[in-house]
Amino acid sequence: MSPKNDIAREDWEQAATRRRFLLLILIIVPTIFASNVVYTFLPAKGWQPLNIIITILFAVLFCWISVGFWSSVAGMMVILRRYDRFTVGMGDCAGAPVRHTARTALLFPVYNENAGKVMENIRTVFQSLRQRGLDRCFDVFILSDSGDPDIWVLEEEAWYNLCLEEGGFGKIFYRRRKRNAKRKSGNIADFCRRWGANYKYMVVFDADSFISGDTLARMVQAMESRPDVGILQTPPKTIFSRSLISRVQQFANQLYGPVFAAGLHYWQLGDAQYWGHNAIIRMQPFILHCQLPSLSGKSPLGGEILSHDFVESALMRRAGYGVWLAYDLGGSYEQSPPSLIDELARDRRWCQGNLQHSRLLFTRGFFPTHRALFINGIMSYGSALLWFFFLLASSIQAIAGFFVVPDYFPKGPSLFPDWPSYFPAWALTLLGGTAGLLFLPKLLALLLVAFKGQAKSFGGLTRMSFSAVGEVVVSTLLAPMRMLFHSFFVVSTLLGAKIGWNAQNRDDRGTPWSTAVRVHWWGTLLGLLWGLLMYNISPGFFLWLSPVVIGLVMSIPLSVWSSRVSLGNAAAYLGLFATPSERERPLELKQLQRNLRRPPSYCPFPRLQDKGFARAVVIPRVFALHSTLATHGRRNSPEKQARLALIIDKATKYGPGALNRKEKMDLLGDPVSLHLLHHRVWLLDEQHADLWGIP
Amino acid sequence: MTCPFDESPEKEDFTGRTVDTDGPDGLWELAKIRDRLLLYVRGMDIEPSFSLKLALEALEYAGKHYDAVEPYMETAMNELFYLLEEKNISHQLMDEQGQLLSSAPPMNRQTMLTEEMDGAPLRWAIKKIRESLRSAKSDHKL
Repeated sequence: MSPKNDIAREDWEQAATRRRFLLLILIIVPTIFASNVVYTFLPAKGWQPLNIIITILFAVLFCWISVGFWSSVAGMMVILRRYDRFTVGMGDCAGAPVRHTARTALLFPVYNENAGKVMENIRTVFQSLRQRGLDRCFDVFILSDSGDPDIWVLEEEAWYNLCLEEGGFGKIFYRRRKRNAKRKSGNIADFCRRWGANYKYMVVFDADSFISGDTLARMVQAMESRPDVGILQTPPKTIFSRSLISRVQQFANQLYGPVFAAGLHYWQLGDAQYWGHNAIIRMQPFILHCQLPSLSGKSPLGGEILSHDFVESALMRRAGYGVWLAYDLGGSYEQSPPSLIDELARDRRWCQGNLQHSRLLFTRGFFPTHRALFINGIMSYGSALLWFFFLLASSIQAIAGFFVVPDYFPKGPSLFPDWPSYFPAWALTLLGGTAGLLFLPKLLALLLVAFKGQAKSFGGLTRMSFSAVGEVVVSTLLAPMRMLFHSFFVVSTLLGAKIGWNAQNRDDRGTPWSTAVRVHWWGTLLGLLWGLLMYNISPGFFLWLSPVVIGLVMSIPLSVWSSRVSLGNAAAYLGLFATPSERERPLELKQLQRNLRRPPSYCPFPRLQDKGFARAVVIPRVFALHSTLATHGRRNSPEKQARLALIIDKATKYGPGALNRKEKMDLLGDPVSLHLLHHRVWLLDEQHADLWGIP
Repeated sequence: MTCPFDESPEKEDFTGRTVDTDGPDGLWELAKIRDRLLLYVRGMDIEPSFSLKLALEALEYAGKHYDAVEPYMETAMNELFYLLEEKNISHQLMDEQGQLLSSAPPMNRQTMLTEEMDGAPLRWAIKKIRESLRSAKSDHKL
């Protein structure tokens, strides 16, 4: 069935046009009004061009926060109405059997992740499917891009153990790429080229994301009943947060998230975004239309497309298939970064990826909504820079007000001086309006939960309200740091600074003070200088600026404390930041938690617990597994053979610690050399064998 | 080094040789070899009792074929490797069908062609603006 002939599509497209037109009016009209108030409110004795700059920056920022506000209002309406004719997730298809022809691949792209944790995620998904008798329709693919030799071996071993324990051979597959071209999008594309033809759909996971068996079935049913849908995105709920910052984010995600997702769905309909994971994708159109090119020029704005998901959704839409957000579908989960520094490290990648989209704004055939979504993505980080400039310009204006002598007679000598006029009522209205745009969506979400009688699942009405206040306080304190870093990311990206591809930290170890000082010292210094200057020059303006100054000056302790699991536990003990997924834990999450607590498999080599490379050399079982799975490539050249012989000698004499990453990878990539080393190591005398963990 | 559990410094090992527990060929040395052999077979996916038999066989062989040139440990481990090979216990894992274990299904290749993504609308818009500017200029001259 060609999606282009689908009547339903015309239906939703018309509705979407009307809704977006309404959104535009709701954003632009108040912005014009508010900007006008700001302009008249600015001191006349200041530098006039600066007033214009401040007003323009304010207008852009006001537009930006208005989008969030109106999305929440729309989401509230959608949820309260309890009827949505365009819903995709929980439509009529719910409960229908999954046809065996709807073969679906579950993809887990991993890059130097904790193999044990990833496998427990996969185990739970697999068990959840099996319990519902759905495992025959789904195959699991672990798509590794790991370049760390230790992690490579640990992944193989974890896959093998999982298959043995769950009877997953022929259902759970593992593939590792030698060269990770185009990163995650290249990893998925490689799967599509090799095995994509075997499947009708693929569900893409993140290393720490999870979808229940029921939800997976629903997603497939939805795709089966709507052939015009190319990508169906689920809104993942944040789970298993332990540190204070991640608990706060988990609370915000589960309290405000559903309203916001419903709002996004209201405007976007079939022009939604793909967020890179927890989404089901129709395989054939993806293969035919969604292969990403490399952009001309060098990185950061050229080269490989980093944030591939937004572009893939735009391409899917260009090909005539809808991209939908199943805002009403539960059972989809992810985890959030455990500390502010980890969050900022992730944001740096996302920032570069989003700024790259500026190159794609004028691509032929993209729908206007997707161009707008590109701008939205750019503004996610650009807004920080604009806010920084806004504060800077306002500070300069305040300083100018101190130094510039007011001219009460600008038109020459007169009996009537031109007094500077201020309208406090207008200023307060503006302040209230802006605060409303920022905080009213949170209040609306809170009221909605209370109205629906779900406050208990957030710890009760009182605790939920206190938690919401706490969330506002924490996010307000952290906002200046985020602003500063996002501004830095934008500027450094535009100046050509590149970023590497590092694995994401998902451990709750907390930020050490030394790391916090190294990362935040300049923010603290800037906050101190800025605050002191404004306090001495314009105490009135300092009061306005104080939330920003406090956030910056306190950035080091805030970063450390917010990363602490102890504070997260204390909040949990007090019943703060409680979420439904904690208090009424669904079965699949209980299962996942049990699996994550499984003791490690029996291993008679305790010193080699995490040393994948040494395990492959020493432990006969692991050596056998790796040798079996290692690809037998072309015969080695005499030069390479000689080099490998030298590496083997070095390894035998000095142990695995003497080898660098490349040498280890070379050995792991050549089963013959590995075999030789395995034999030699077991013949070593006590002293040398000890280097390999053999007592 | 003295074995704390032995009363006499000299005794016969299981091969009938007299060994000096204080010397390098002592019981400690044998115990080390035993442990190494056992550790190796414990690290394999084979029946535990069978693995013990293999280790014992290798240890006995080493005792019988001891020579001063090759260290005891090497003789024992080499014998174990030989026994594994002889008993057809390969270092290659097989699947249920007796095929070499593979972690991925057979490939079913197809191509993915890169999508064209040019900035055509922008170029088109710039071209149109230029053209209209030019025509406006020429109208003005006329």
